[in-house]
Amino acid sequence: MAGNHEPTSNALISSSFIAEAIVEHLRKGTSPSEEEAKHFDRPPLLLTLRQAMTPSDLGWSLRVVEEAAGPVAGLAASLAHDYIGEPEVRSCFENRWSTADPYLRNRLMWQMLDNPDCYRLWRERFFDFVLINWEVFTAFNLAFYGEPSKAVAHLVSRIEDPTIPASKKWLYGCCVFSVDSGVVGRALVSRSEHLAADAFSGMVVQALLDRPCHGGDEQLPNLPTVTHQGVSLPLVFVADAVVARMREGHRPTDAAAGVLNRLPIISALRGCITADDLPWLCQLVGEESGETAALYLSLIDEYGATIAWVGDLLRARWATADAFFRAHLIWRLLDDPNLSPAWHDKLFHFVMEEWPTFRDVSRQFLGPPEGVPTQMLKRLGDPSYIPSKKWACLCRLPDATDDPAAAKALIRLGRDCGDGFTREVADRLLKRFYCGDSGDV
Amino acid sequence: MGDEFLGAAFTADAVGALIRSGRYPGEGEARAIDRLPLIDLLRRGVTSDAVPGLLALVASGPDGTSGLACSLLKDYTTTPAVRSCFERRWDSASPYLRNRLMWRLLDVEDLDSKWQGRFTEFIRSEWGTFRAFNREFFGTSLTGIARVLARITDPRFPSSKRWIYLWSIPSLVDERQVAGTLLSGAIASLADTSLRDTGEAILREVNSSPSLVTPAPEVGSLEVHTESYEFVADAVAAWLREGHQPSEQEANSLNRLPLVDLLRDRVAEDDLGDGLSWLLAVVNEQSGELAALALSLLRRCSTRADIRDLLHGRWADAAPFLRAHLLWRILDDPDLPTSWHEELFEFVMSDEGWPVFREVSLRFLGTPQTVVLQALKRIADPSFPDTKKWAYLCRVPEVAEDREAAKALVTLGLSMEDPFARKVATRLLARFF
Repeated sequence: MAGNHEPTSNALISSSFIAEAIVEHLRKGTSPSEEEAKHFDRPPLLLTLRQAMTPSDLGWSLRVVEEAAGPVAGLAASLAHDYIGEPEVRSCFENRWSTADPYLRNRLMWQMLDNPDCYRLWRERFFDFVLINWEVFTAFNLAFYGEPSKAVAHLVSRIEDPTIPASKKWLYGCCVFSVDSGVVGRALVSRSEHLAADAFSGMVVQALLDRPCHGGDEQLPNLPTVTHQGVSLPLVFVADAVVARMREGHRPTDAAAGVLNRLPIISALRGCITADDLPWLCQLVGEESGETAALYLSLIDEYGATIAWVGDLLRARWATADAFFRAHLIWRLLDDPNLSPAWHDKLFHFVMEEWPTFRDVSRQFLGPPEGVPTQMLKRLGDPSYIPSKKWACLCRLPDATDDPAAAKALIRLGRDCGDGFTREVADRLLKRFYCGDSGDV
Repeated sequence: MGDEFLGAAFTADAVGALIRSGRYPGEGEARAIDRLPLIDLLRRGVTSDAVPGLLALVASGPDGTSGLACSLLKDYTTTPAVRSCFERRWDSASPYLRNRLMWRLLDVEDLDSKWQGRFTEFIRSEWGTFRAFNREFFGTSLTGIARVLARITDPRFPSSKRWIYLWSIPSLVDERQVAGTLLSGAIASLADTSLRDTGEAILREVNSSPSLVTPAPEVGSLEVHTESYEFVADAVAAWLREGHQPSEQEANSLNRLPLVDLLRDRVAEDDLGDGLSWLLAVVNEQSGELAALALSLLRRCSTRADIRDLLHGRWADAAPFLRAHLLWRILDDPDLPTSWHEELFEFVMSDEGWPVFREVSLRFLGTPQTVVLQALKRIADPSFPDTKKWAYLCRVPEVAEDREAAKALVTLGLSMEDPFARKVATRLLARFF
């Protein structure tokens, strides 16, 4: 099973199928852990989750705000964001304020500020809260907006964005200070005409400027450069939600299936599948050949090797499958540690003959090219991974990574440490993809 | 990539000497050298004697090399010959070279006003070149942006140059609104009316041209490749051969991948009887970073009988730090007796050896994120003796950020042909995983 919080792709967290599955899971009363709730309560997933909320969801979400605490209640408040104009929501949030912990107060504050009436009546209280709970406020902002250089850029754009209510801009000014109280943060906030235009915002800015500058005015901030990092998703909760949704008969579209049939989410999904799921999974695998069928095939995982009728179905399916489906089917057939040498030959022949299809399917499954050598190293070095399947892992390496030297090194090491067929495969790969270099062969 | 050596005065001295001798870097090499902090160190060493040669390069050299020559002439830009050469070169220069010429000509306070028009036109038409260079030179972090903002009002920078810093702001950020805010702030801080007008014009352009401020290119596209350091390696090797010894700190910055591999390729046995004979003396007499670098550079000669004896003899009384370096040279011997392998491995696993070995290993290989793949490449490299490969397995426990990948690599060691490597893998798995 993959770790609970793995970097994943934007495609995954912006999928409406997944968002609907998560909201449905919450609707049915499944409570996320605090860590899971924190991860759900971050963009861009949060925005997709809010879109999946309907007015009838206010009942359970407000109940969670009233009865739970910390990040779990904070997530519920955040999900009710689009309904802050409703009296019951405002009343619930206002009543909860006095008994809420600082984490929840921070989340309530952000939602309440989208209501202009709350702004007028509550702004001083909110600003006091921010100043007194500066560490809670800062920790949340860094988690929510990402690394400081990106966060500042994003926050400044919020201050300048005419669609953001003026009632909220002073709080974005506070956010800039919280993630960068050095030269740049102070310069940006003090120069903003949008903040200066509003009397309360102007007072807030002055109060922030009067606070000590962390690191000193003369010192340039020493912050990381811009990088492109994956976002995190609580995989176990999401997988539970998605599988529950599929069990109810909701089929993902081909696009959503393509997004789900990738590492690391696919490992978490497989962990939720039981033998009882095999009939509906196998029915589609037997009848269709697109991305959704490929996902269902992927979910069958190692049942093909342990349940005879499933294994028979998969081997029979090979004959009628197109190249795309075969590029998925190969992995399920290889789950069988007793697969005959003739089958191994046949599968490797397919890989070499239909290389572009095999490579493209493999790339999509494995994700970013920089992680491919490490992913394959983990499989090759995993004693619980079926030894007779390892040769196929070597086939995933050529043309799939931006570090061809690492890929080549791993193929060589795989050859040195593998069985006879793996050595044969490694030699063929080295010859075909690495300028005829087959090492000492 | 360990590029600490680019900030070492020793590197700058070496590169400067090689350029003075009449050898110039190639295209990619020159671009890798024309960066902070190395370029500032190199400029300090440019004397008036070097000016004619550099001007000849500006006049007729290839892009990157001409750009580097132009950059090196920074402190001479206001002299008539240099200024005139730069002005003449403009018409026939490539966009890359024009960008470098522009920054230098802007150091001239009394530059004819027509040049600002030309430069503005150049920036507009070659925005990609201007942007890419700025992002490399200043960096895209807040620090980089703050550097540019500070230069707009810093009296140490010529006033003739301020307008180009205004243009530089949108080149460093990825969001139009952020660029607009930064520009507005910068404009508000300017007293000069004409400069404010220029700033307002840039701001209008930023607001009306969506393509001007775009998301950053993918990470890695601006990275310097190892082969770009071939010239630096040639320079450092030649400098060492002349008997120059780096300081302890400089030796430490040179003794890291990828540079150290390039340096080793340049040290042959013949050198030891000639310019690099001091390497052996340092190994024999010292125990710090310089001795560690000297040991590293001996890799291609370490199996020669006299050197092997020196290494074996030195092991007996060496401190853990030197042993953590010495070990690799001793292991270069494919016929090393098993008793030696046992002793070296016991040192690695000992309470006093492990922390030092781990620290030295990490520094040499790079970062906790890269260490597993670096070790993998060494293990699979047929030019390394099989008998040495067990030691690479020792490089990953407790060092690699991805513990699962580290464990996988060590586990593969259980299937390696060398029985000692299998024994090491078993011990490592038992102790660390």
